[in-house]
Amino acid sequence: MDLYLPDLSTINVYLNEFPSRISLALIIAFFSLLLLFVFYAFLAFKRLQFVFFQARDKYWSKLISDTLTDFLAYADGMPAEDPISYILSEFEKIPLKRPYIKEMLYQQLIDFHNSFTGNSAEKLRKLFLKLGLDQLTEKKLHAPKEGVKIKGIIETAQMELHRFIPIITKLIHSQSAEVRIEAQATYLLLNKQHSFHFLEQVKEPILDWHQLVLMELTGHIPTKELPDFSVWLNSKNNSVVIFCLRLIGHYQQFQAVPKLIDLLKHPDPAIQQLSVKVLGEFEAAEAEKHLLDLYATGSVDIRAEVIRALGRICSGNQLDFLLKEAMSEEFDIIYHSLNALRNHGEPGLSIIKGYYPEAHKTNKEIIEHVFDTVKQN
Amino acid sequence: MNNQPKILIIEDDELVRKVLHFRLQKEGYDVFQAKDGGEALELIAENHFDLLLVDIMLPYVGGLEITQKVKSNPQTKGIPIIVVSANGLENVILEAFALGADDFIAKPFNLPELIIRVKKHLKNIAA
Repeated sequence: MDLYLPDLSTINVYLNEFPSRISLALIIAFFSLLLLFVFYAFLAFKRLQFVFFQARDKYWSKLISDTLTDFLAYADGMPAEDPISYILSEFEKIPLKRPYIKEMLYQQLIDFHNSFTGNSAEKLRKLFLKLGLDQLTEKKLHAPKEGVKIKGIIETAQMELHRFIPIITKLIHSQSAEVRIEAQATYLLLNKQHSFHFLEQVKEPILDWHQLVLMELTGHIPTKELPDFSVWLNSKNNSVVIFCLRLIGHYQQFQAVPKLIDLLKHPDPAIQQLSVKVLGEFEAAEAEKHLLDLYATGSVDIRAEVIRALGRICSGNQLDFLLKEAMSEEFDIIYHSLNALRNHGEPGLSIIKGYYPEAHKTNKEIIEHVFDTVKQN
Repeated sequence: MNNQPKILIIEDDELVRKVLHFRLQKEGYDVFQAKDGGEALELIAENHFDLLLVDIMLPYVGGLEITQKVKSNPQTKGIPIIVVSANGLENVILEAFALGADDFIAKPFNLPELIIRVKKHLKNIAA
């Protein structure tokens, strides 16, 4: 059989009948049409492929969700192993060796697990482990792409995969802030016995928004199970010290007062200031002398914080000092001193009333702003 | 005639809706589903339900609006409503109670707890 091949000489002869520009235009038009055809053929192929995959995914997704629904509906009230043995035989009908089906099951199981608590969630978790789906999580934890790694960390927490704690512990030191916070949060959630031991190891700073997230997670731990956060107040990582100061203040760990007093000598002014704040909130009268020592050398912010703390402690021993500071020229110092005097009740108010007539015009305005009653009397 | 109590699940999450439907059906109830508030109100107008399970966060017509509409209608105000909400939405839950909701259950669900609450409310109606 002869193969028909295009006779280029004939085409040549045909084209030569036209001026060269027309011939060129015809050739360009021909190839453009050819390209257009190839493009549309490609689009049609991609569209068909999409429709096929969509139908395939819909079929397997429904089968998987029906099987999981069946499992959940019958799992309640049954002993731990029975429902899983029953459901494993159902999963043999699903070709889990195909990666896209395994990924579909993986995602659905996690979604189901996140929607339920108690017995149902625990059975889903056991099923997850029995099907070996934690291997997918492990792959994600070792993935080079940060987004995938973060997803793996989150899923480790969601499915309570304790065997990955060593991997999570390494990720606590990640250079990436996003990976670090997720790893620290997961460590806190999984490591029930020693939730905060990562504070001993973390070298990178715990950013303020990290601290917010961790504090929110800490709220899920019963207060009596929380550790004494003052054990980390001598950390070389200043952000750890600040984080622990916030926790000590929030959970009112009064036993930390002696260490807070020691922190008044810390080289970092932010730590000094936060220690002053917490001592004030604790109304730690034994800290007054040390607060005044700090006042002598502190910045305006620290001095204002000391005065606020004295206003909370209200021992009555610092009234003269507060009056003297109310006569200063710095607005913040004047304002906080007057508030601190007011907090002392009648003794403080009578001092302000005595001072008011001799006060500077600016100071008078501040007093009037803060103490309407003084002006009225 | 079907004498099983009729329950309407109003929940936009398909997986959760499916599991609740299956589970409640296994308990012997006649279960209906609605994926949003609009569909729910249509079903409530066409059927008499013995209990409503309402997710607060719904598209289009929210759970609070459904609660308010059901409880302000003399024909439906006697239907017990269990609102479903994620933890942390205390203000919204209080508002639901103020509008007449009868009970609340938190997400993620504890299925046995949900079943007990449903049974309790249906028993109260029967009594």
